[in-house]
Amino acid sequence: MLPMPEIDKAKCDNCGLCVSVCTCGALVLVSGQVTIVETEGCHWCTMCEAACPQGAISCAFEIVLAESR
Amino acid sequence: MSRAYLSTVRTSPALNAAAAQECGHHHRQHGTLCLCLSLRVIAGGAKRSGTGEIAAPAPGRLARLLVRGYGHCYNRVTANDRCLTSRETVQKELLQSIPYFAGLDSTELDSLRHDMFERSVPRGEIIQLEGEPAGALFFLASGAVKIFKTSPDGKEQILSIARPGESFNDVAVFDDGPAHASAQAMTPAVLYGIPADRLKTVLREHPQVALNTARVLADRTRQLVELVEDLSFRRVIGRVAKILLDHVGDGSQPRPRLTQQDMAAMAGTVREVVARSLKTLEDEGAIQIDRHQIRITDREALQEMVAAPA
Repeated sequence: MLPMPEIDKAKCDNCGLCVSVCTCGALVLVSGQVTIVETEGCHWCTMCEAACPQGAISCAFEIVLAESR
Repeated sequence: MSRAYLSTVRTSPALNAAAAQECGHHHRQHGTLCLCLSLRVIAGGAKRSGTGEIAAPAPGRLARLLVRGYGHCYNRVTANDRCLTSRETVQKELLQSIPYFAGLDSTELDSLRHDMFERSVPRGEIIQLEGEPAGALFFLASGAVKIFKTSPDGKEQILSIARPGESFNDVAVFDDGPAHASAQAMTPAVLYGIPADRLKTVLREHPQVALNTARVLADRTRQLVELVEDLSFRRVIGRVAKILLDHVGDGSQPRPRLTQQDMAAMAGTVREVVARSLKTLEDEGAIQIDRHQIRITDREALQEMVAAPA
């Protein structure tokens, strides 16, 4: 399963701002609910996390040593 | 059922002694009732109150009442916590890995298990709130917990991230003061706790634990001094570099993922500055960002940035 941004549904008010800033189609509105679509097009730009006024989206990084890929 | 009534039930030593006898689960001196007995206590109390009209609450409602009755004391023992009796499995390897219990033999570890309770928390749960009294000393069995302070305008400063085997609210437990920071689960976590009043007895009965406690508190002081040093003397990019190096360690242990906001809270800056710092580190070849992964490609370069003067 491809790692994707995570939405905290308790914080998300479905304002759709993240959908409007997403350039790869990973975030869409389905029946008024922000939904994540698994896609390799998501390059982890973190704009959705930056745009969310509620802090409901997190794009967490895994920090590793180069030789432990 | 009023909060005042629940407080009375909670703190009656005689009631707790009776509870311990009847229930068979281990009970501390103050303020813990296991759920199975609480039903009878609350029902009996309703009759004694003379109202007659208050029915014994259903178990689900009782659990909610008990949690509300403990109010916002997240770190007190609640009806949802599990007593750890000899029938429960508290992995001895985990206990031995906790610095407080280093050097204890099997018999001593068995005796300590009877004083401990287990709590599972979901990701995002607030385990301890800054300024609240600490009812128990918590150890992390699994998961990750961030310890942070919040400014009046909502800015967050992460003091540390607790990992399995580590404790995180020692200061408030030992000086009987309010919690100096808040603690929140970064992942689903399992905690083991020792109630604060029981802890003092543990220290008296196990001198090795008291010695270990001194070492733990000394290490905690050292960490905080390093944080002060970072915030005072290092440039932001140096702090970000240090965060990356400290987080990855020797690369042998899995660590929780960090968002740019987490890194900003640890570095005492804002998210946008962290994003720029990471871009700069990538441009200089110290790291490589591949989607959700930050790979440290030049450890020495990061160390040089950490050492660079502000």
